[in-house]
Amino acid sequence: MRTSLIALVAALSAAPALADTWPSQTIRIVVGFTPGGSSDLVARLLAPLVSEDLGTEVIVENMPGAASTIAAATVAEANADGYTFFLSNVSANGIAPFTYPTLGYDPVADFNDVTILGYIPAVLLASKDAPVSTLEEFLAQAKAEPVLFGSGGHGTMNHVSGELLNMSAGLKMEHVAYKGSAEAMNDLLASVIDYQFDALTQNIGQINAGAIKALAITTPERSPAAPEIPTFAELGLPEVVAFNWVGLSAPAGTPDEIIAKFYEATHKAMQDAKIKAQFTKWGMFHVDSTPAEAEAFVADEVAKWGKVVHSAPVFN
Amino acid sequence: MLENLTLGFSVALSLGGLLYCLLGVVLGTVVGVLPGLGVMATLAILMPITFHLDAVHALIMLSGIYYGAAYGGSTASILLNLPGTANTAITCLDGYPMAQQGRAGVALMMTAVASFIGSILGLLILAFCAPILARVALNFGSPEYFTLMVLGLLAAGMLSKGSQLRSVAAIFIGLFLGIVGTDISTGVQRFTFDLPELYTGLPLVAISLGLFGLPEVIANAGRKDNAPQMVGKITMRSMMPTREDLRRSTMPMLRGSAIGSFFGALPGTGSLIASFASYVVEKKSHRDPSIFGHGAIEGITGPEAANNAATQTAFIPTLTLGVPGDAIMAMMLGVMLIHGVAPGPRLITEQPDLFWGLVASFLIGNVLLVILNIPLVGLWVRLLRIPYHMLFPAILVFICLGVYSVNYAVVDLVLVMAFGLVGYGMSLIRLEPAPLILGLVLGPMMEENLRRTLMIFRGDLWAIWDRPLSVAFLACSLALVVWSLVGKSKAKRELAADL
Repeated sequence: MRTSLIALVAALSAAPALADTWPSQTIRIVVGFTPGGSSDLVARLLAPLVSEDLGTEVIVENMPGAASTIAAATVAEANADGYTFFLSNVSANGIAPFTYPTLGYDPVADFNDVTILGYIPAVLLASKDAPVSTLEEFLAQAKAEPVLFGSGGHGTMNHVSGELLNMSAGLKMEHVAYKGSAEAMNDLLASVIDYQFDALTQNIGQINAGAIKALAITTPERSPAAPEIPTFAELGLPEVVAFNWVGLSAPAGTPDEIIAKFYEATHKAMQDAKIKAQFTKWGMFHVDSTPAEAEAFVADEVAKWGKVVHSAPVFN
Repeated sequence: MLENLTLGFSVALSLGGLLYCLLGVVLGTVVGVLPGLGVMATLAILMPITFHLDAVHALIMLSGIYYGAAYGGSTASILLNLPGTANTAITCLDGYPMAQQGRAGVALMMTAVASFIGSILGLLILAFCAPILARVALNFGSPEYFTLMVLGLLAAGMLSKGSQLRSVAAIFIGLFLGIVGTDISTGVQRFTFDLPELYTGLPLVAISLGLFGLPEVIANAGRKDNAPQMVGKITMRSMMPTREDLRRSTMPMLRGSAIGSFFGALPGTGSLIASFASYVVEKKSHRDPSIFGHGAIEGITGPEAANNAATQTAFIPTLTLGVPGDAIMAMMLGVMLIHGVAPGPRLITEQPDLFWGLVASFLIGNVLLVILNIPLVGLWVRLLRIPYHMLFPAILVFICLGVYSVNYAVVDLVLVMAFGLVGYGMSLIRLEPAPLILGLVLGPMMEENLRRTLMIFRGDLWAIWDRPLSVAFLACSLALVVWSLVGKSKAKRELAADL
């Protein structure tokens, strides 16, 4: 009762007044994944630092399910008062618009983006028994014969990265879907399947131990966490750039002043040595972009994945 | 080895190591004892707190909750016929009848003993055989998983208190329910009615709490007699097993530990399947299977040893391969990653203090759990010794809290209520929920693995003969069917002879 009254008062008061008094209550960051994933952990690392800077409580709320689109739809419909933010990500804000039958939100029109925090690159991995050990040899094989590649699920970033490679290099790799990256890794380690797209982070140990081979990475530059892996771009496929990114977005209509203040707080938090160290450990690139850059980035992502999804027979 | 153990104990016996171990196992026992309050939910709630601890301390505490719950879970199964955790569901089958016969104390004592023996044997395997078992598990691909699940479902077909026909029917209901969700290969929505919450399939926690938890509440709501059905006082004297109990339990506990260690170490299977498999093995290998379901001590000691052994060996693939076997291990992996620990083949050599510290702390934790669960069992029983009119509304709250805390989805609450009614209906027509749950879990996994196998083999299922492990699993399945049929006709002959 009291909260709805506060909401009503907040809604009736003019926007500038809202921005002046912000933040005066608890801010929640809605995360579309279960606790413990790397995206969730980014939010949980950030929350206390932002909270300290803004002088108000910042809580992380998990609302997992359906590739975080449930959480995205909830935030899209939330009050644009600066107290609800969404941990935006490539699934909900880049790919799902083209792969889900009903979504309930528009990734560009329904959000004001605050920042892109960082991204984890994907890697094209080969089993230790695969007949190739470089991307060049792989491309030759994939052009000569039918090739399968695995990923952690239909319509995931890793899957569409494979479709992006198909489109850019003119390949016809077929996708084998798994319930998650860990399951896909079981088959890759057992050499049941020869190729897989997966995040770099959890595979560095396996790559260094020689249990699997890394052929190429999907970032424009090499990853500091694994500098020996070449990029697709330097091997002649500049279009194969794919990020598993996370950022922060507010419901559309959130006043610019609030977005700017919130961005300032996250920007400061992102300079924290602990966060920087954690990002490096995860093999996560430190981005920390401004609201304007974030808006442009998300629009680009939506355009890119739309093109890829429409080109892939498995989605059509 | 000695050097490693010394290192491990130096970590585990430090003040912090001991403190977080104790905290973990106490919390685990509470979570295990109370039906509806799940390990997953507890770990999720506590994870943010552990970010401020050392990696080793965080893992010691969270692991303590996990294996502690495997001890506590059987208490509610025995006293209330409500599984405290999903993994102890099978303990209801014989534990509750034992309680009804006034042998609750013995059942509690023997499950604690079985849990300890299972854990210690599982722990020995974790410490000594990790590299070997890891190599076996590493050879598992989709064809192996598919054939293993064929074996699992066939085993479930025989797992029933009543007729095999009823349990097969329940398995099929489970398989059909497993169809709900997104088609894994094409992304097509099957029976999701535009509810995004159903895109990943029917939530297992909600369905199992609905089928196992609610029917009991409904069945008891109409009763005038309001005293809990827990019979007798749990005194140390009433807990003393007879020589006969010990003799009958020895082999089931050893077999259960072996079965549990095996399934625990396999990624994708775990405590639940281990306890089911152990129950089937005990029932099928017993000279008189009809005593099962009526308070057979073998039916609780085998599965309890199995599920505890599995909780220990579950750490093998997680720590040595970086491949979590189940959702709980996936969370553990998450905790390791935030602390910069990269689980993988080199973890044991690169961070021996972490691996051996965990091993040593598991040993200490299991000793603490025996103390918590045998002399102090009265304390936990008191948690449950609350009158029905107070206990069951509280259980309803716990069920709803537990279900909601997994996905924060209202749809899950509706499902738990709906499946509570379904479960009550099933109990009226004596249809067992356990095979249904197994069908629901294994169905989608089998479908995925079969479809992947077919894709990888380019549609040629006969290529499975090139995978020796798959052939072994299929041979086991065949043997199980033959054994079951022969055993059945033999039982019929014996019955005829008696007449």
